[in-house]
Amino acid sequence: MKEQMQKLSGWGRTPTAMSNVVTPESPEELRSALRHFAPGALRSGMIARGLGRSYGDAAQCSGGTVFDMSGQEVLLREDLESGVISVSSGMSINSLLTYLIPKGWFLPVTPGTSFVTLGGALACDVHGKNHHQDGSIGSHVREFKLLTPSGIVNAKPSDDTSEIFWATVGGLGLTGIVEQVELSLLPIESDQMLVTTQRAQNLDELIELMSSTDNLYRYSVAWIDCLATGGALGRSVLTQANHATSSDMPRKTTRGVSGLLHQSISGFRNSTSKQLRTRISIPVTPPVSTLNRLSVSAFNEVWYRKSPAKSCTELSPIPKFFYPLDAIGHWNRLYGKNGFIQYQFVVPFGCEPELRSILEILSSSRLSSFLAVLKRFGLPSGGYLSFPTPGWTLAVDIGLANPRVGSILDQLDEIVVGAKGRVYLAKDSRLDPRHVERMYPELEKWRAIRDRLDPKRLMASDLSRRLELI
Amino acid sequence: MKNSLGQPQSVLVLGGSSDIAKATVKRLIAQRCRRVLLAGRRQDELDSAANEILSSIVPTLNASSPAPEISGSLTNSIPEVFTGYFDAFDRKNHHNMIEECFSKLGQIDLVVIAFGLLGDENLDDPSSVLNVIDTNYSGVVSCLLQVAHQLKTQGGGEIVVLSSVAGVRVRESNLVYGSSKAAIDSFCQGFAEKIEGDGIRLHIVRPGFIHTKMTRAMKPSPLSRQPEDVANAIVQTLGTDKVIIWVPPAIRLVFMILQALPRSIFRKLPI
Repeated sequence: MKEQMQKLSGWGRTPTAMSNVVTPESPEELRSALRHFAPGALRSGMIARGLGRSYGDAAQCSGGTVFDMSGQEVLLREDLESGVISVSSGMSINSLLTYLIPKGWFLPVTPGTSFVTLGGALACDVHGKNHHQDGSIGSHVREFKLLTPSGIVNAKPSDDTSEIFWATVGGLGLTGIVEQVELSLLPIESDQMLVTTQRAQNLDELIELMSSTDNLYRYSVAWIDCLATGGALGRSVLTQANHATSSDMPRKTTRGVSGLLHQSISGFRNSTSKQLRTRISIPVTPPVSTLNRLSVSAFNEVWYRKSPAKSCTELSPIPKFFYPLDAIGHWNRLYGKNGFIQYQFVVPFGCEPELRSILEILSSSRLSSFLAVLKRFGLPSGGYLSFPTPGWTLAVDIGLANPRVGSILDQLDEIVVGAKGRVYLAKDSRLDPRHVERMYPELEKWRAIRDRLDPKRLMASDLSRRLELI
Repeated sequence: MKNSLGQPQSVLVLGGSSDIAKATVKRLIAQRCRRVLLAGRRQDELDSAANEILSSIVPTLNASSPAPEISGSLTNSIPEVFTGYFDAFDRKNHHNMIEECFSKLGQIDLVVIAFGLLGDENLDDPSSVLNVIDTNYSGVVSCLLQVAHQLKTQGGGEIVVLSSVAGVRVRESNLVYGSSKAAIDSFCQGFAEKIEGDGIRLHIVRPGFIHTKMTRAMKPSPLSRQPEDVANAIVQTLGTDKVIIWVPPAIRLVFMILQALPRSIFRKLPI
């Protein structure tokens, strides 16, 4: 078992502090490490960490102990007849998909990067482009094994352990450490997506388009140019997709497949695992952000112009559709040494005026956000601290070069709270703790269940301290 | 826990009744700061500093919120301002006093070292000269060692030390005060590098003439500023890697020129 003082930060690379990072190499080592570090955690806390893709401070614990779970990738059980798989929590979505896709299975929910562990995905109750149809990952987890300071629990969504289950799904790792996860899979007939792309000239057009057509597609997401103002406010490119069925596949792509197993499934090429790998990498962190108003507005213009003016449908490989940024290693370095914030909120349907006000503030303040991502959320999973609730959700990357970032985001929080919306805690690094209770009405219930599992309050993260969650 | 914008949530001030420290804390509680500990020798001064800080909250919130009817959501919990005993002279007890501050406040994101003595520059009174050195140099060094140890244990944090432009080139008229600031300034420059690996950031503030109770009896120099200007400069620097903060920024140029002057000219200047 490795143990090392390390400077940790989230994917936003914002300034941070030192934690004692412990890397257990087996479940036995993890359990003994938990016992070993528990007394020290009384003062300084402990938390599990996966691949560090949370943008803020959810998976670090200054002065405390951080369990690095990312090395343990074990496939425990699989039933590929009925589509159920059980894996260690350190298993990454990337590794899992490399294994599953050629066998004709996909994950029921995946976030915008494949470099997350299943444990991290569960702790954040992650959502994907299909939330309006399939909900978040918590809705597809059948069972998990949770190591808590007061014992080991196998939690299920609907028996007498359900409270523990829903306190842990979206519980930001603060109920304990997930050791194993069992989840249902989604059958697919090919490794291609049938993607429909179209432009919307402004926000009204986009809202109308998404509201009327999202039900036809499993996946739907709009990329908004945040620098467009006035009549073009909210101009965007909407991509909607379904998994391509074998009948959607053109003839030539089914040729050249080698191996007995692959021959029986016509829609699969051998290139998927290659595409799931990172292809280029940002080698160093530039001293200042390379993403300034000039470069971003030039990019946004080109990107909008190159997308088809009329609706167009084409095949696209799974990795290209789901994980475009995974192809660029360390893309977060582009924001320079100051790092960046990802701000994501949801406001209920009917709060389109609030959505517009927020977009107006973002575009007029020219925070030089790259593209913003707009989605429609469907039904919540039931996690007490889960983020998704029915409504419009917008996610924006914001570099920290502009000194007004703090006050502008505070202003957006007020609008979100006023609309009975909420901010995504797993991505947060700057929310005012006084807003959390109003955004998450089940916080008190969560606290009570959490305290039963961890009465001495050993589990803690920089996020839980900053937002005074515990 | 400080946030990604470098805004601290809990602050310890050593020399809690300093005008610059008060102005800084007022700015910080208008952001995310929720717990403050003002430490110093005179309880009555600390109490009035705490009152002054707390009474500044409500107008600040109203001024910064976009719509008055929403701002109510933020006023429902008022930050806590504590006071505590701290004596810079009593170096033997620095360890205990600072440890107590950390146990009272829990995690501390920012420590402001704001105490200091101006002295009367009377070289015929060696004990008053040494008092200035003891406070401004030895006292601050002793605190820094204790504070850095505590911050290292909690995984990091930020320290602000009030230096002065007086230490950049010491003049005949302020040689005691100036040399004590020169010494602590130099120490901090090296110390900042030393503790960086422990996740601790140290910022050295070099104000020019600031209108405070310490300088009340003095004639203001050109480029004089208010404590709020120093507070703004500090707040903007928190969370960044910048080590030296000049207030106002232009005074850096003045002192670069003063430093470059030959002694024969420098000694004749009416400063």
